[in-house]
Amino acid sequence: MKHTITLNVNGQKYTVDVEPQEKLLDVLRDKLDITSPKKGCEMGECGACTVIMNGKAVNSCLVLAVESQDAVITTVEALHADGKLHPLQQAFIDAGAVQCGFCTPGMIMSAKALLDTNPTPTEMEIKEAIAGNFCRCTGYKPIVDAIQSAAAVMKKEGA
Amino acid sequence: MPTFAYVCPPTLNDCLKLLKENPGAKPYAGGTDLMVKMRDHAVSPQMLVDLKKIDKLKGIREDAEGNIIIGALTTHAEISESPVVLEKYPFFAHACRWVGSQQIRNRGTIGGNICNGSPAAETLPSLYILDARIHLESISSTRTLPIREFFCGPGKTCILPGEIVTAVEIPNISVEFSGSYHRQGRRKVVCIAMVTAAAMWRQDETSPSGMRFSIALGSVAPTVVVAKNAENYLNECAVCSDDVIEHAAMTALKDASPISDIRTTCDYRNDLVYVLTKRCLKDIICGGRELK
Repeated sequence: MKHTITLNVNGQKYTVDVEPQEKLLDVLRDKLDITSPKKGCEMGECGACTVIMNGKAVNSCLVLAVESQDAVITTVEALHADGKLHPLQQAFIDAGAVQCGFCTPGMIMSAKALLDTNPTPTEMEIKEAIAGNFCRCTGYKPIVDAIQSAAAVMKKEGA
Repeated sequence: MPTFAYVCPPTLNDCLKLLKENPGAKPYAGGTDLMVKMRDHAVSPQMLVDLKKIDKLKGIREDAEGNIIIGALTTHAEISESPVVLEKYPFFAHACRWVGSQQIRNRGTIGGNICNGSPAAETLPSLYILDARIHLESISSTRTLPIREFFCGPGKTCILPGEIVTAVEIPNISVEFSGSYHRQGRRKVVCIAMVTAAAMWRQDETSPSGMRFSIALGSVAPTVVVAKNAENYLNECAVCSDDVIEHAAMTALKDASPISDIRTTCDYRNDLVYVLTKRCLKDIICGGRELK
């Protein structure tokens, strides 16, 4: 039986019909055309599908779309504003933290969820926050560097 | 994914009624285990009863007697950040932080972790040594079971059809105590543990050393096991010297019956039982990790 759900994705309200077994990841990608969350392992291990749901980083492959009724979802698509990249996006480019780019949207959303609650994380806290996001080509060093420098930029901008 | 009906009832009674009336229904909480099992067709429920609207299954509270009651829907992230858990039982908060990744901890619940019944579950050894009690409810009854009586095999629990876990209770400890948890996986994080171990002493004047010990081991038997031989040995010793810790850690091997599987070998698990038991005992006897 189809359910009609209303959810807020990147500040925009969507009403969409979903089957109970449809995953949030598939609805975002195939029905709402929001394709930054990537389909990787589909078992919550690789983190490529990470989105922020009601303020928390989650694997959208392990969330049923039907339970996102009234949820507030944020993906990378919402990060840039006024034609300017988010400090995390800019830092990933500057640090060379993007190679093939498949893990990047999930990695950035995990980093954003961390910085939203902990604006000055330690290196260990960054590593813990992105432990559920696998990168198989860039390497984690530039990614951790990028998150650290984004945190510094955001602190400066906020000050 | 198999097809199923989805309901998200507003009250616990509605949930319990649906679970009783539909034998093919399954309760749904964080979904971090169930979604993967459904994807692999290992389970194919006809109906998912989403419990997430039931506020009484959420959150952590301390009652007047100092017992901590953790609602079944409380996530691992919430437990690991809970001020009351961090203050009273830091090793249990620490164990919850070992579960999966941040994304998994944000969704996965303590009730789900328990009902999943994995002998490798990060939360269980600590709950064993804390003598946790599992609160269960069905449409017609409520009951409480000691966690040590809750599991009957890998992935198997004593939960009856139509019943759900509503909370986990950690009974207050009114004497001095110290606890510790260690685990070893194939990599540092986001992996299922090869062996887990938790140990604790509580002040007990009837014991020669003034301390009564509890030790639980995970991923070395069909369920988490209490290391009775090691406990008995420690409970008879008057002094907890390095030699005694060494012997107790060796004795813990008698309590484990590990197998070789996809994660590691039986021999390595035995080595880990010794090492992790020793680490836990050193923590609690030498007064905590920072003093090492």
